[in-house]
Amino acid sequence: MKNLYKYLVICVLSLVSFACEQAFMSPTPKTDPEAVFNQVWNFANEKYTFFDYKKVDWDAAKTKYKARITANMDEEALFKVCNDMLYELKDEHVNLVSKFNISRNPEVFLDYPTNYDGDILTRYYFNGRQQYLDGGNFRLFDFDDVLYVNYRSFSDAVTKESMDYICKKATNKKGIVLDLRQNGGGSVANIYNIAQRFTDKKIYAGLSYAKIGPGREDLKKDSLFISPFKADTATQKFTQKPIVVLTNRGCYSATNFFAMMAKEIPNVTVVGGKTGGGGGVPATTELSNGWTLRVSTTRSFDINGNNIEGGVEPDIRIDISAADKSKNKDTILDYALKLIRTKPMAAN
Amino acid sequence: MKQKLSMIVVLLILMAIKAQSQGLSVLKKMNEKRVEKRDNRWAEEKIFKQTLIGFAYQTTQNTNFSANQYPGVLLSARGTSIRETPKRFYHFDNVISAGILSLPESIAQTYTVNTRFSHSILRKINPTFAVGSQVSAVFNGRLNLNNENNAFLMEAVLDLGPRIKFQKEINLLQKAYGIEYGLAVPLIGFGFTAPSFNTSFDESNTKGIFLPNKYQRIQSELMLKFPAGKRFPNKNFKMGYHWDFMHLDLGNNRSLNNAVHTLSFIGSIKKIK
Repeated sequence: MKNLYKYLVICVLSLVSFACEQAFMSPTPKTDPEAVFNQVWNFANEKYTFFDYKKVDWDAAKTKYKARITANMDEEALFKVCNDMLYELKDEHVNLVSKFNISRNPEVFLDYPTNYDGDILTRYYFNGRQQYLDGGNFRLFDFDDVLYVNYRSFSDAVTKESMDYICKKATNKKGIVLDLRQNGGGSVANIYNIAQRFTDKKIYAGLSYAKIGPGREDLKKDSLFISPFKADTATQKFTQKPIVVLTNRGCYSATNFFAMMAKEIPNVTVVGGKTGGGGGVPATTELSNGWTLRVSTTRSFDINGNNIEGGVEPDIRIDISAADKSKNKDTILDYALKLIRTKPMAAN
Repeated sequence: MKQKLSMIVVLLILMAIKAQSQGLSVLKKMNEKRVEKRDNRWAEEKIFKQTLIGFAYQTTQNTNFSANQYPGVLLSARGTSIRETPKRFYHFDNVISAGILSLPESIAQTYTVNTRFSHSILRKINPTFAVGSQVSAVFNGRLNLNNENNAFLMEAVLDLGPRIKFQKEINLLQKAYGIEYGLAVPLIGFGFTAPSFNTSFDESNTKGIFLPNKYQRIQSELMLKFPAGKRFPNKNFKMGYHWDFMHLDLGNNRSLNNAVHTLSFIGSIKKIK
């Protein structure tokens, strides 16, 4: 009888201790249209950082778009309603992703000159003779006295070996042109992997405010610095000669950050068009129906207090005119080459 | 006078030598006793090393990322060392499991790896029941590249708390079976999660000391031991069900929950001594 009692205790303990996890977990969210709509609105409401900057009344948006939600609507109809609501944020970092569509707002790019034509560069400047480094992440062209480096996307990893190679190859050149035009961004880590090669000292490059709570102003301030690369040899850095960074409106997100930070490096000059913005680092969630949603969750400011969500002004603003384009001229690259050739140390 | 003095010195030296030899013999006896005691203790102790592999069913929910509960099946491997003395159990336990978490609706899958190391010392209250404490280090990592800046979510915690163990040999049809039940409830933890409310910057992670109002973890285990065949007198087989649940309050009404149910159905137990 005593043994039986013991075994009963064990069984009860086992059942209790093996089965109570659901008591701790939040209930699984529903997947009906209204529940999904609410998840979209709530995630943006708690994490998005530019409601005031964009002058968006998010509560009014909820009222307006929730009225279009019906219990029987299909997935595509629901996606359209959510897409229309998110479009009001005018933010390319706000994306709802389903298996059949991705919501985005490209308005930010539409009212500015393109300022970049890869075909003109390939045909008339490089004659099809570019060097593809690191699987094509970097496309290099040797102008004899200047090294041209085109970095296509911050999503492509910047390896130590690539940067060692670029710095070494540029050692005997007058300078580097780093072309970031139409680079839509990617990983923030790559900003530092590149910028650290261009400075010998730690540089204060801006401020970032990250959301730490659901309130609109629940933000934590962080200073942004570029720390110098710890080089074993002098050829692993490029700090004593001019670097010209080329930008246009297609420079978004991580590229926008890079432009802001590069402007603070003494031997770097940013030339071209205003960048596209994307000053809030996005965070992602997955909704109960499997769609993913990302929104901007930080605010960033340059050292003068300018919010870079709207873009970064270059040091020298140059646009490619229609007349130059018709003559197959890349006015921005021409200016950058001239700047390096005539000014050994570009003034910042 | 000089002769008397030298006689006294010689006498003193002789006395000292005797005392020393007596002292040495006492020390020698003490050492012999210590060695004998140690040998007896070693003779009484048993050491088992066991390896178990099996499947785990995991459910993870991090409401900082999503309210969804992500289920998945993992492969699990476990190595355990148990030293049993007449008074105590000493457990060393290593578990690693890896697999994929996903909702049927998810666009991309999440790859997950969990590792756990725990060490416990339990004092035997009676032949079937022991109680003591456990220190455990746990790391859970989840990777979903589709989530970009928050592609990698993880938590690493070192915790400490009481543990109990019940074990009983049962004879059925003239064969010895065994049942074991263990329960550990850490009361304090120290660690960090990444990322936290804002899923972009490491600086805003939840980190530090986790007290019981914020951190709850339960590890419970039921093990059945089956008799060894005559051909393998030093080996037998165990089948176990292990449940490891962790709940961490992340603030802002967010929480992290990780539940792993592991069924270890193949194993080997090697009795070292």
